[in-house]
Amino acid sequence: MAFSWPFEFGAGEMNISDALGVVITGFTVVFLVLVLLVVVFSFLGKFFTPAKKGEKKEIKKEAPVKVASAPSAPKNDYSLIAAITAALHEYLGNGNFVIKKIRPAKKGTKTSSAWNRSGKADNTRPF
Amino acid sequence: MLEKFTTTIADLVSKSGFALEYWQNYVMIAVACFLFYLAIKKRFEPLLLLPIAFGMLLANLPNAGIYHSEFFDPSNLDFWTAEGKLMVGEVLKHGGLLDILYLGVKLGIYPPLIFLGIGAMTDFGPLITNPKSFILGAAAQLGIFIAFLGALALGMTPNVAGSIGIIGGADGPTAIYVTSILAPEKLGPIAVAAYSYMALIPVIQPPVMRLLTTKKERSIKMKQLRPVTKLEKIIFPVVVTIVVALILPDAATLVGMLMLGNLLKECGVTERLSKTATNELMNIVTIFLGISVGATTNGVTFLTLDTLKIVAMGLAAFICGTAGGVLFGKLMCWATKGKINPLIGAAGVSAVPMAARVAQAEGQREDPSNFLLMHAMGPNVAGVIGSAVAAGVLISTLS
Repeated sequence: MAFSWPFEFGAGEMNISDALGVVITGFTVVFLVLVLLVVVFSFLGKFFTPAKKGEKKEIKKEAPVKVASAPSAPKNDYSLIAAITAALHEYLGNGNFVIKKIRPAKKGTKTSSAWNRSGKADNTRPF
Repeated sequence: MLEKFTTTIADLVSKSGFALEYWQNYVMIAVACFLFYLAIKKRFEPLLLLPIAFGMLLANLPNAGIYHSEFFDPSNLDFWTAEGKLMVGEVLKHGGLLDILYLGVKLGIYPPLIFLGIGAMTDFGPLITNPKSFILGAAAQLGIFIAFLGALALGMTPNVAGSIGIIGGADGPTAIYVTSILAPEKLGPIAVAAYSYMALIPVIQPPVMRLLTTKKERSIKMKQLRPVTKLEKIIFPVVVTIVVALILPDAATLVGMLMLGNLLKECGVTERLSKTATNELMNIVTIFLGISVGATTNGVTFLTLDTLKIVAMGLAAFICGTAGGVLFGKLMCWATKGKINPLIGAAGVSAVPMAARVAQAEGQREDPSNFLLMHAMGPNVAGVIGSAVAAGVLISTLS
């Protein structure tokens, strides 16, 4: 038994080729308008950020500066341990603590400010 | 004595509100209560769902006399001219409160005013810094045209099919605006479907996004956006209005009001107007729009096979729109050699800011240190412009 579609396409007011014409025309117009806006605002964007390329070139020209490597685990740096101990003592107001280990932060640990972290948390809170 | 008592009681009951003429009214009252639950308890688009639900309740309670759907039936020559024009004076003379408020929908006044408020609340900065987002906003309009074809295949007239398709724009005011012009008789189910699906964006979109992307693609981190100058933000609404109105005058009402609202916000010298647009005006119009749209959902006209088709096609429109955005996002990801996370394409369906937050949440599911929100806001606000343009196309083609 052959299956027949129970609905008349477009209630008889539009055939499939006309409908496809509307779809293709419509989608093309939407794309054209928005692509035109992409072109306009890409151009304007370049106009408003002309210094960007120059800045990059300047940076390239500068001789590479050797930066002292990040402090390694200060196992034997007793002056650093003393300074941190003194600071903690000043902050806590008593000497009732022991510093067991001082080690550098792990790679990739968040270093943004508390305000940034708070802003991100606020904007990305779950639903 | 007993007979007189029972006759009197029966007479009272028949004159009271309990004697609803149609069972569909009882169903709609139950639906209204369910929408109250969704709006108040689940907080699904409460600002609009609550007034819509209350309008639905009022429209299905008998003898209230505050809304008469027959006034807006073009075959009623007491209120319509032979040329098919509504006699507004007659509605004002004989109408109830909701009849008069509904004129704002019928005459296409409320949706552009809502767009004014939306414009005043929207930051187009992410779109200005990354104009390519416009294309994702266009790709996500695919759902509109797929649903249009689907509705035609289900036997809808072209005008009703166009109104159903626009649900896929995920933009309530746009859906109401297009429907009030093309198929006002379907306004109730289309508005309810549009707002319900917008509220369900966090449920509808994620499975489509996961299905169409790989774990690697979802984990892509995008480059930080550059800061936007104030002058760029002022130029943006003016240029968009000029471009859109010149190419597609039918979209000028919605886009123009959206951009006016944005200009009020960004220019810095009309703070009072901007505040009014975002607060008092927006709130007043939202109440009027919601309650008068809800009033069009009388059970007899709402509970039909056509409503089921609208609900089904609305869902198809949302799914196809999301898929269109994500697939184009994948294409852009490939073209830029992995600089664009395809998830942000799903935000192109409008529904600001919900769709952008879904993209953010999905990105963070794969990598908690990935922040896509501001990148997704670009396609998200581009989607508002894209759906308004698509609305203009459908109005100019079908009306």
